[in-house]
Amino acid sequence: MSHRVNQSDRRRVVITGIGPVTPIGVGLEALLDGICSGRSGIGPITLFDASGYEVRIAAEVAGVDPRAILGDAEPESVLRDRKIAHAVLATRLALTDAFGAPKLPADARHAPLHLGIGLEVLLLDHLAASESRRARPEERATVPGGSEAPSAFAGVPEDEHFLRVPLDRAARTIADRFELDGPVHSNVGACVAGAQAIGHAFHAVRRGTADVALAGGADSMVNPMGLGGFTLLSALSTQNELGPGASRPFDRRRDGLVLGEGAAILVLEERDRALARGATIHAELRGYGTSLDAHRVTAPPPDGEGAQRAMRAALADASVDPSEVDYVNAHGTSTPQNDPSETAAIKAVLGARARQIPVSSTKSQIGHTIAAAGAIETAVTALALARGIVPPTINTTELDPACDLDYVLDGSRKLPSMRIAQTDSFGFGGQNAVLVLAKEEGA
Amino acid sequence: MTAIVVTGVGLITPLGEEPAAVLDALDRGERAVRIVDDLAGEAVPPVPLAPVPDFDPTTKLGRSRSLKYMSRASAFAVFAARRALADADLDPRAIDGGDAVGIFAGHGMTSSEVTDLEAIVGRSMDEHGALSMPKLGRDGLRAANPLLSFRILSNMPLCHVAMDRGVRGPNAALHSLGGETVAALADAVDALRDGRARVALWGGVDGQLDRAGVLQLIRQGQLPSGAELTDVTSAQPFDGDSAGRALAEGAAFLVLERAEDAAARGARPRATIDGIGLAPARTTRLRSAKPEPIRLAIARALGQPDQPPSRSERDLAGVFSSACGDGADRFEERALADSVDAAVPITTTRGGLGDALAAGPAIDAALAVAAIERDPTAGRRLIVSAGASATVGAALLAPPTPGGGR
Repeated sequence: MSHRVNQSDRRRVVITGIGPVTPIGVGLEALLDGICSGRSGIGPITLFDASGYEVRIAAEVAGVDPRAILGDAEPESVLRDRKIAHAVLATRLALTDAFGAPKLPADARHAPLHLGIGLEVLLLDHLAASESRRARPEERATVPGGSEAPSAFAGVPEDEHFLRVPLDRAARTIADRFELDGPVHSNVGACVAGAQAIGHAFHAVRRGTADVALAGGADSMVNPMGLGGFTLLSALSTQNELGPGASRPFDRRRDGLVLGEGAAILVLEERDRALARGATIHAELRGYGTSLDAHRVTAPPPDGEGAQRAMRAALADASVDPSEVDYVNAHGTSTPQNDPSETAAIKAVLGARARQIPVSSTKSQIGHTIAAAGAIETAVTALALARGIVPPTINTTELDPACDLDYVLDGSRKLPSMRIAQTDSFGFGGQNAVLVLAKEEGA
Repeated sequence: MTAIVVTGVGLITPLGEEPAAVLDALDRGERAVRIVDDLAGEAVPPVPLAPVPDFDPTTKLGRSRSLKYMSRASAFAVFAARRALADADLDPRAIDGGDAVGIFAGHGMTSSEVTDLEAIVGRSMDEHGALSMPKLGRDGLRAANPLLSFRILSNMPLCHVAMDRGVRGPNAALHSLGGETVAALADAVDALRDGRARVALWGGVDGQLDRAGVLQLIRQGQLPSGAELTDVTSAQPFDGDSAGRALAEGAAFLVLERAEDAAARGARPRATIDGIGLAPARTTRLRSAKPEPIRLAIARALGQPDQPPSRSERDLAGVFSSACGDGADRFEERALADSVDAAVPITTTRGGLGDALAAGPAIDAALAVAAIERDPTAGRRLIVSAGASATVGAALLAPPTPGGGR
């Protein structure tokens, strides 16, 4: 259901802070340098011993120590759940970018936080250590007084948590450390979580529910069961030997996604407020659309029909005609199913002009950061608009015949005339989210 | 502002599947809470739980290939959503092919699928009895059901409802321990008012009564355990001697529409969403919100966000409280005492149904609709969800009388 809306009587929403934590760079300039230079963040897994796995490559965030970010007071389980530290660091960077210091100004304390967050890290050593794990009721010893032995936690490492850290711990930690007084939301929409979180925060600011909002996503599936779970899905590239070149969206030899980790937090602000305080505006958020495939658990419809509806909804929400789109930051996972399906959707929505529009996949450089992907890619899209640079798709050299758009295969490209861009996110289970951004007027 | 009405209700709880019957059972003092020390053959310390009895997905949902991809929570969600849509006499596919139907839900903790995980762990131990990552990658994963990932992905309950009923519009799945499910209600209402959807399914689902979920909550101090527990000493809301909450499971979905759209298709409005309030709990760990955020959420739901809450009543006929029988009940009690006239009756569903966390506010809303239908002249019902959520939520439901919508 797409309906075009009169923008003139609406509040406008701009991005005034960006905090990226990615495998190719932490912070705005590092990310931009990584994008422009076509660097890959993919390499052998170092975070745990993956030598027994079929897949042994991923895109890790290097040089970020959770203990240095979160401090020694946090339990081991929280430090092991790397997305929490990434989310906190990204928030610090975003707030500093927007306000010059890692805190919200007093008049923005009620800003809501919308965070896309990935699955819990499963602390399998807790299960393995639990001496009672195989005990059956009839086998349990009973001590006088009726208490049972052994304790359910006998042998399990001392920690605040058992098996997993609650999903909302990242959002709670951000709210606590940065003294947020607004509601916090943890979106669990898998691969669309980051984009949806930004979309919902965008609507909240546009509607007037808030003047400032924090939004983004954080995830790290580079852990034993994260990698294992995606291996079970047969979703991962097994071309370990390609290393940095394994993620090659739209290439006919692609065989799956490469897991990545990271986070991005954006500061969204009502435009007049941002202008009044002289803020640097990276880009304007213009539209957001979501849809559901309602198709199959295991794959999107081949024609990307659900994705098309999300694109149309976002463009309508932005009051942007498809003919105005200058750049598409694709979902581009490098899986056999996604890339032709997304290509079909882009062509269906953007029409004959689709072949002239540059389309690129950030996942070629940083892998698939799952719940963080939509947020990081929105950050990349905003930077692309601000700097007039189209990010590249790296590694792809032989296009799949079903993928016949301009995928920016020859490195990043200068395009100062770029005004409107869209960024796509599509998720397991059939959730779709698309955001439309515009270059800030006068920038 | 456009009035948003409830036109359909569906739920599944430990005390039944018919909202009016569940409300009657609660009024009679029935309780589904019992002390459990064995979950499907897995030993757990004695804990108070309230499981949904005899829930067989094949019987409840019919034979379908999609069942093998569903966790228990997903099956609950599909069941409750089907009931809600049937109650509203609405087929999403008939509303712009499903494109104009949205879904917004609070999802509980990820399904643990402990049996699978323990099988993986069992095959991943080295000769010294230690967990070996290389062995996990080489052998452990072979012990897992290949469909494990589909069942543990956090967004799956919502996606299964969409696939089952042809819901294709705007959507969001929020992680919830209660309050965030009210945030999902706010998203649903916004989608309707913004014109992004003509119908919105709103609900919550939780289905984590497994060994890992139980142990996790025990360790975080959110679930009592011990041989001394009895079903009488547990889950007694507002009782200082209560041992703590009973963990429960279930789901509820409500069909929401703009009042004019419901009228246009001849649907019967059952209640009006009259206010929603959200406030940050300001707790880093799983700890219950203090009185101030609860007061704030209530004030916002009652439409007086900038004023201190007043106890002078605004035709409140009742409150559905999230008090669950743990020590934090006193915070909600204090907030209610400051915000609501002492004569307003307070219903505590978690004494009988246990605390189904993410599903709690939606179940309460479904029961509030039943209460409104039982006595439509009485006035509005306030739902409060404090608990251990990162966000405190409150919602106000009103009888569907003219002028009943804000």
